[in-house]
Amino acid sequence: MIDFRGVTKEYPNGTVALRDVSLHIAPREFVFVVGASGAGKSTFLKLLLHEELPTAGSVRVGRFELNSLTRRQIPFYRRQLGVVFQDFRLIGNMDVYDNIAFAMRVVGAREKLIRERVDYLLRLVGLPHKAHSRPNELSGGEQQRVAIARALANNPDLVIADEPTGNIDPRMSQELVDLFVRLNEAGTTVLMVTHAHDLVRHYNKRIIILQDGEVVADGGLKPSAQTGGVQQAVSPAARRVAGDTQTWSVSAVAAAPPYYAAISQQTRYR
Amino acid sequence: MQGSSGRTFLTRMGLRNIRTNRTMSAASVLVLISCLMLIGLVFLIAVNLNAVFGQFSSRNVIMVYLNPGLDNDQIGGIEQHIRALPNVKDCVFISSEEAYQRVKAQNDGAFELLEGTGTSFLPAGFEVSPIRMDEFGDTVTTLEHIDPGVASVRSFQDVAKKLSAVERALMIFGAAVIGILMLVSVFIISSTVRATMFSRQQEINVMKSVGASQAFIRWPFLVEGVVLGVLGAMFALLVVFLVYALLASVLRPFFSNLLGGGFQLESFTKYLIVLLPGFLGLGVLTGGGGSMLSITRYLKEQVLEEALAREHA
Repeated sequence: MIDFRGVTKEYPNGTVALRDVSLHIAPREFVFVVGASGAGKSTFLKLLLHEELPTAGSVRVGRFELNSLTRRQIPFYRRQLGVVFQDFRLIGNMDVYDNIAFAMRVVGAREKLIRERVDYLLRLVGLPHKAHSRPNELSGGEQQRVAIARALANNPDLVIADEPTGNIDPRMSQELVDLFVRLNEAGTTVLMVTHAHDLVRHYNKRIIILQDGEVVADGGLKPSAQTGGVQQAVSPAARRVAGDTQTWSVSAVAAAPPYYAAISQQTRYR
Repeated sequence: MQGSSGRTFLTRMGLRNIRTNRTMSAASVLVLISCLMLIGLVFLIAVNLNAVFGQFSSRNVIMVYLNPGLDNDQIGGIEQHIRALPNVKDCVFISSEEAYQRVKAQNDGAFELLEGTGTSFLPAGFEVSPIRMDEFGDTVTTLEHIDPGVASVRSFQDVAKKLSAVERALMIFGAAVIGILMLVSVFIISSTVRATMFSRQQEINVMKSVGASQAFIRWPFLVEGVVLGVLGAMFALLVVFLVYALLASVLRPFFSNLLGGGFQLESFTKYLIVLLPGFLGLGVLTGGGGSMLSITRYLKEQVLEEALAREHA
């Protein structure tokens, strides 16, 4: 689904946001991307959304080689993605229904299909009664659920969530991630960038840890007692994610696809 | 670009944007009304001045005097020759008798000395009305060379030349004023739409993030510009009508005494058939054009940023 091959991104001011990043995310995976501010998470997302291009290396998402996308292809590429932002990015002068329908209108869907799909999505995110509310009449959690519904409108294979729980309370945060997990179980690849370490600890999913533009850890977090004591391979960043009260390690990810395993072996742990 | 449902939605979106950004929309319409009103008034002033010149011109005829002793066939031949000339609107035969009566009427009382001399001492001739004043000189030269039969040609070429020059200058001035006002309208509307565009940056970014094509992003802005243009045109027409009616009522006494009386201001309704489509066309062009100029420039700047990033890569 996603391939980063030796990706480096250096900005004109000399800041190197990503250094020689290689990773693979397989279809149907659920991946958390974590890291401190300035670790390269935003650049990682910008590359995925084709808002930036790598200085070196290549990025491939599905059938799209992002380095060589033409201007005309960009909208078609973006239609394959469902993107959820921390600040929701709902259009303020449209009601909830139109915000969700908007993504389908962009691709030229018929009104009948739009009606059916939006009704379904509103039920899925638990907001059928808010169809005609304006975004400013909703709570943060509700707005984010609308944003998720919009991201799912065109049934994307990949959902990218950028700090989706950043502006909402902890209880609602967990409900949202539960929603992403359910989507993932239904076959959608989910990539979630987050600061919410509690959430990451709560779900036993693959974690990619970025630090100073490098992938410093890539795998699942499990208590060391269950994985045979490989905790010495875990970086300080991973330990911070895991919390100081427990000892964690990056698991061997035995169940992951072969390509993923190969990439994991290349990952440099500190 | 889109299915009909998509276009309907985008059109509704453009209309809704007008309401949402009502202050800027009102500013755009007011600017357009001001410019179109000036254009309309310049047009109507030009039309009236043209009519004044037209009346002057119609009175500036060329007299073609004939040699005495021509028979009817020869006179008929000369008339046919004159009428066949390209710049001749009308050609009226004035016999010696008619000439005598005219001169007599114009010089009331001064003809008493000539009583009994008969009427044939004044030459017969043709009164020729030219179509275009700027070709007046050429027409006179051609008439002078109708041979045999034409004794002499009398005209007021200087007056014709001056009239023609004033008319041409007026047309150029009017066209320049209208052109400048149109450019001002396009510039101001594009600036107004551009100002609203920055306030809608997030909306545009959301459109792009969900995969909207450039045509999709442009459509609501185009609708907005065109609707503002049409609204501006309709209001401007109404304002021009009211201002013209007011001016006409004030100036009518002055004009009715012009040219020795009988001059009427041109009727507004006579030019409605020109002004209505003209204003609508200008409104759509300036509104839609200004809008497209802004969104295209805005999207180009974004593409440029992407290209710079690409170049850097």
